[in-house]
Amino acid sequence: MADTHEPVAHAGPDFRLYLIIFAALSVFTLLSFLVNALFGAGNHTGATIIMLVAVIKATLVAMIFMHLRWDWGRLYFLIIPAFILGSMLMMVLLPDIVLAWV
Amino acid sequence: MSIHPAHDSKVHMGLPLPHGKLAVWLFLVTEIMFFTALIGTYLLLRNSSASIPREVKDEAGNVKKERLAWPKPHDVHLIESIGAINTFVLICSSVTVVLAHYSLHKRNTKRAIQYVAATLALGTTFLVIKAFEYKSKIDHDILPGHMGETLPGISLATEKTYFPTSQKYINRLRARLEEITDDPTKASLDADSGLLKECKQLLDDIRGQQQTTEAGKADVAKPLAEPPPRAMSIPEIGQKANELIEKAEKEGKPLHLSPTIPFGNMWASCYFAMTGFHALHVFGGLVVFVIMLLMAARGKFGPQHEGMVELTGLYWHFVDIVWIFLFPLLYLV
Repeated sequence: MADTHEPVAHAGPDFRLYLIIFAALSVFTLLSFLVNALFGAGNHTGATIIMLVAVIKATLVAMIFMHLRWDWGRLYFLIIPAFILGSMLMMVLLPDIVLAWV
Repeated sequence: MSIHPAHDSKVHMGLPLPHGKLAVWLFLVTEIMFFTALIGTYLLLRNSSASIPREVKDEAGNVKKERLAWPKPHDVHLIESIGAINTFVLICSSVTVVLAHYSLHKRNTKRAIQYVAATLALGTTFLVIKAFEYKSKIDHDILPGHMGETLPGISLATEKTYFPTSQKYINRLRARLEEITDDPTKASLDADSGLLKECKQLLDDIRGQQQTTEAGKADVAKPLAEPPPRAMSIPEIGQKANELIEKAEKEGKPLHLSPTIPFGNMWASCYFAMTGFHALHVFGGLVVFVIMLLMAARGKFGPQHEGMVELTGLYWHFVDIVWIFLFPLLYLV
């Protein structure tokens, strides 16, 4: 089958949306840096905020820049198992590596 | 005679997705597994370094209980602001590559090539900054297997566990001190400097600690099986080395001595594995951008390459996402 590129499939982001996402990503990066500077390295609240921000940034890049917001229905069956395997990997090794130490 | 089914234009084989996109996403899923393995291992190892307790005597002679834990960014000469700048550089490069695709979709080839060139420049900037960071690690000898792991106040059982690698560390320290004392000018030290005296003192302490042969010469090649009962233990030598390094940095005369950082070798292994593989992935992406620019230089780049730019962009965004997670995990938390 020819590799037709449906014009409808490119109903997607426009130039402005890309710039808005760029601004958001920059703000989030600055936020993480400031939270770290204020709370210090080991602080749990700071760490939670920073990791949440990281997840939000990654989601923005994936959804808008990688076009997943429009392609998700055709790709989720590939992406979800990778995350299941990833978390399973860590859970499976947790008892022997992390919890076994006194 | 072959049987042809009636052609129904509403029924199609496969996904309503371009082949290239499906293939690249399949590849990205394998890359997710690859980096999840590395990052997951880092998380597990870091959480398993549930700190080693030790007792420290302060100046007044009071015994204080503290815990040795995973090195903080400051301990291993990691500068958060440089990591933040690198993050921003990659985010900008993600924007430029998506705008390159957008421009090519709008059939503006010239603008697309400019955005591709910008992405290449930003990606190269990322690698250059990374190279400076690596150089800093090499200068401070914060490399896997190079650092000491034990500090004074550790229980004897723990000290014995770390002993074989501690011995290697002492040999390394000794070799460097011998270099310094043999030719102080190479380390930019004056003959009468206090630092040089302290180096000589530490060297004597180490020599006193090494195993000696019958002839009385230090036998560096044969590591001891057990810690010898000497006046200055390996943890104490490690602490002396750290103090010497700090003093030297204050005077602005880097001695390039190996520091003693608990869990430092594990940290270095994780750091170089994760950021090293990420840098290799960045480099791979840059190669494709160079190919695009070469095609453009020969006049063979146009709107027909929109798919190529889109798919390369997908890979590049993935590389950016990996760094978005690496940055906080290594530098911030």
